[in-house]
Amino acid sequence: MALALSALAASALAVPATAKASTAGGAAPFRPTDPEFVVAELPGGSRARDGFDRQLQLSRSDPQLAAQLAAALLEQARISAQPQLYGRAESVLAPWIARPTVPAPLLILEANILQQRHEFAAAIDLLDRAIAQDPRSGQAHLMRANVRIVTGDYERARPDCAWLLGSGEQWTGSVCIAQVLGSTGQLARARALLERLAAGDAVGPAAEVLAWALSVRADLAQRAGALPEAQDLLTRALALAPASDYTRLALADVLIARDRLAEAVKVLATARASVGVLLRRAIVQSRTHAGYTPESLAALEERLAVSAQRGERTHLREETRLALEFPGADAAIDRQAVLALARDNFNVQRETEDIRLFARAAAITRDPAALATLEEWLRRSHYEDIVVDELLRSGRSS
Amino acid sequence: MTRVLGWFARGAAALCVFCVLGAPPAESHESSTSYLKLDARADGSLDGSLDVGVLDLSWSVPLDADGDGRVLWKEVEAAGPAIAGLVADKLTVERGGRRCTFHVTDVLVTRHVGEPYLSLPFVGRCAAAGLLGIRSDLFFGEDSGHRTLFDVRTPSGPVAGFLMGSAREWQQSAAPNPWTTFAAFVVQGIWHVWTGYDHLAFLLSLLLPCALTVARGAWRPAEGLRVVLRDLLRIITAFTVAHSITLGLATLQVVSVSARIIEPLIAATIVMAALLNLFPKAARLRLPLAFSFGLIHGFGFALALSELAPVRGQIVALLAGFNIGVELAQLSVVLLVAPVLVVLRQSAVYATRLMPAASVAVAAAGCIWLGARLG
Repeated sequence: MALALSALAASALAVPATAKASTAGGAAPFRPTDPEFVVAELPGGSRARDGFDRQLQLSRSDPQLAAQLAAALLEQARISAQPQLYGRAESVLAPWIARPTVPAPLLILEANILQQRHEFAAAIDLLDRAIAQDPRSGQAHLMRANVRIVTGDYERARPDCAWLLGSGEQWTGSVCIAQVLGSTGQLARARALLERLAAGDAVGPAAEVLAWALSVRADLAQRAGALPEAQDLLTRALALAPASDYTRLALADVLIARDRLAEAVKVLATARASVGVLLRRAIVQSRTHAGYTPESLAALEERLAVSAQRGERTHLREETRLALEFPGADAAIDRQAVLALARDNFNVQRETEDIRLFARAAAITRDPAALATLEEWLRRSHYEDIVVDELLRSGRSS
Repeated sequence: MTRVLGWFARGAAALCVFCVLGAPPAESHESSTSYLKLDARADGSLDGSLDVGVLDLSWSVPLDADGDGRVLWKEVEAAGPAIAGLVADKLTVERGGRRCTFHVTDVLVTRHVGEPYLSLPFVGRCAAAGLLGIRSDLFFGEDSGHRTLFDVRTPSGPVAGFLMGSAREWQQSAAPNPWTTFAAFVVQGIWHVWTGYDHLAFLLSLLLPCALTVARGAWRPAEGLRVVLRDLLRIITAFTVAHSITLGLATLQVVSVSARIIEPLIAATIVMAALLNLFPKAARLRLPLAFSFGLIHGFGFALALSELAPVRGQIVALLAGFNIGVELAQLSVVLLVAPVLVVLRQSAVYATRLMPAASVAVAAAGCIWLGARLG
């Protein structure tokens, strides 16, 4: 009853409240004078677009075509760096996913899209269904293990990693299990396992698998404090998979941590201006020129504003880091807000950076509850990271 | 089904590792977004603009006639009628349930979050009065990630929001009627007393002796109905005036008292008021106590009201509504209880057994609440 009434009272004020978040303005519209003026480049050319509507219609009655079309769109999204194609792929899958029984490949494709959007629980649900239907799907096991690792659910990732190893997936299985070991008290063993794997296989796997293994090794190395080694591993990973934003950002972060700003600038220079890239550029620019407001900051804030207006919360990690790196005028109020952001992000995803950001926010606010939450989680999971340990010590010291 | 797998099941090496590594979250600014601005004036004129991503549009309208992977301005100009037709087909604006007429007047180039966009200004006419509605079917069917962010100006103020595939329509909500809000708070006030057992218990302990008078140091049935009603009226008025004072002061934030103090105090007043009924000689104290305890209960009502209305706007109306609700509920209790008391007082056991027993029961309940609220 109380709730219903406050909703009523609030609805009276809904208009001015929402009106505050006005739609992002964009640049002033203009009419080009030159007929040859290039309005836009179409990544991947215009051919892919031709006939899409027809294929979309046909895919409504043909699950094989739906899977092919969605997979092709996802592949195109990846190679041409057009994440908006995820939305098109999802439209292909949508009518199928709504059915009571869905072919496993379609479930896996949809789960892939959901995990990109950080809807991890929903992704796990689809993967559970896919595996129930097709227990031999390596893809579903790998993806489910990954989602569980990303969300910090290491123990439940273990069986999927073991399944991959048992089915002869030596590389993916080993990298998978190394991530679990590395987060459950056996960091040194995990590093040794991946070193042995790299040394023992003369032929080696596909470039992207090797790049993945290298980036996991780098992650483990930097949590053990071996930054130069992490830098070396990530440089090699990026050379193998230059399109990987993830690896590029990880390398930029290691370079920033080592105060090698000029090299970080170079790594970021060729990258597509994603939210993550803009954030690192702003950090590097502000460190290079003290007291200077980086121009990438405005672009970053515009993107985050549009994301918020779209009703999304997929950039919690970047928002947290932005708030930590560029505190506003009233630092005391900001700090509590940053802690709330960091905690929300930690509750969604628990990769190395997420855990460090939560530790950083807890340390600067010296918030006893946040420090206790993190310490309790570290104690139970046996997660190791010397950066997190140091932040917790500084948060506890008076 | 194996043929479908293609991408998945080409054997060990074909596991899609990029799904695991290197696939950052789909960047929302690159997930497709359209921007709709709309100004619907009181004279019925309508203007606005729809900004659509060139990449999104290129899936629906051929923009690269020569197939060189670039969209040139001349290609956009050639596609102008098709673009205007698409907008006319997919975007609907209505007011007062009647469809507005509008047409795209131009095609311009702009950018949003670093991406190329076409800005499509339009003008038109709507019904002069009524609530505004928007519907868009542009891109939703073929792109689940599409959102249309809208920024609408109406004579009653601006509104911003977004449309998505599962919610393609927005309908302006009627401005909330202040009387509706007021009435809702009256209902809340009534409800608060009816469901708030502690206020009921306190009222009961005040009412129980109302049909009695004190003679030779003991309770006796009151003589006439007028005496009963006068006593009732005095007690209830004292309580009401007192709680209205503190409810007002606390709600207008002149005084603030913590729930940790008020909640146990309210329980204590119940115990004291009920026990007082066992001492006929203290009957003179009933009126001043009804007033002073009323002050404490007013803070209790203020706490309830603050939970209901965290917003400060319209607070006087809400306060008045809530208080009227409380009084109405009290009156209903009095109207229910008084006739019973009037009848019961004639029975000898009422003054000697029933009233004291009921008072002890109320006091016992008050003690339990006191213990719970202190613990």
